[in-house]
Amino acid sequence: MGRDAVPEHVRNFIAEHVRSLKSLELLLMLHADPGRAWTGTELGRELRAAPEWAQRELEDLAGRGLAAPGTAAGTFRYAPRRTELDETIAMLAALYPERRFTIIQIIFGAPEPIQSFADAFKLRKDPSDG
Amino acid sequence: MAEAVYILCMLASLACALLLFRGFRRSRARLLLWSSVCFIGLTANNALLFADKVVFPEVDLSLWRSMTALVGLLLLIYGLVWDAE
Amino acid sequence: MNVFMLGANVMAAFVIGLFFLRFWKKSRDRLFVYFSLAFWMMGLNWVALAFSQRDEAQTALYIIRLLAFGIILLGIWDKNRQQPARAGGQTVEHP
Repeated sequence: MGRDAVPEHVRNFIAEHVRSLKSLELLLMLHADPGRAWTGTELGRELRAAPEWAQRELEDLAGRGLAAPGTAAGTFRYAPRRTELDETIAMLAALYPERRFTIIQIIFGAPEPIQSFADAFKLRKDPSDG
Repeated sequence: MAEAVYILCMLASLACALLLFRGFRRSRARLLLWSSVCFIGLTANNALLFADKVVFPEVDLSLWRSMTALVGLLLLIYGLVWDAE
Repeated sequence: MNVFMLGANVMAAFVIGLFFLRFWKKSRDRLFVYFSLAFWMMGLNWVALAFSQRDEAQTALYIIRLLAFGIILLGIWDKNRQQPARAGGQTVEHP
């Protein structure tokens, strides 16, 4: 029931891009200050996470078109490749404080059958499936 | 040429059936089971087509061909209606 | 009798294609477009079969069938060359 409060495109974004709560918080932190270029160390301090993990997250986000390298080496800033992504992330940022539990459920809940159908045709075994 | 096409189609539908069954084992989503069964029906359809044209040309297997496809398709429709959430 | 079954197959294939189209709208996953088109192609194949006097091998009817399954194979190839983010080789460890 709570799922309905989260729009479909946000759910799909979470299903595709968000692997953990900490990853989500990192992304939202980037979104909150779009002009700022972060290092893994800075983010690690803010999120109370390992800097190496944060750095890898940043590189992962960049690889997926959600972040871009900053001017200084090893820094990244918020840079979604498409405007729809930005809108979806903005909505996610707005919903997260109020619907934290629902969003957690979406992150860790069972994928929908439709999603499982599509996943079935990924030929390489993906550890995050099933 | 036609024979090669039938074989290819048979292998393609078999591949889909296997991938979907593997997906069903992983996700336990029943939709994938029905989908897998549908593609098994299509595999049978293609196999019977090959048999009809190449192996037993004197026998008419068209009814069996249609039937195997139909059973598979109907089961998939059942799955799409009830198990797709 | 066979024409009746072929008609049923056409109808079923059409409906299945519609479902896959709906899944595409819901999920934005291109794979479903391929499946939708493939099933509609299969339906077309059975339409042609129902109306043709001669059977499948004699005419070039098998081309439609080839297209249908070719579209599926194309869809699977397409799915695997653009792996969505979570599925990539990255293993991001949780802190």
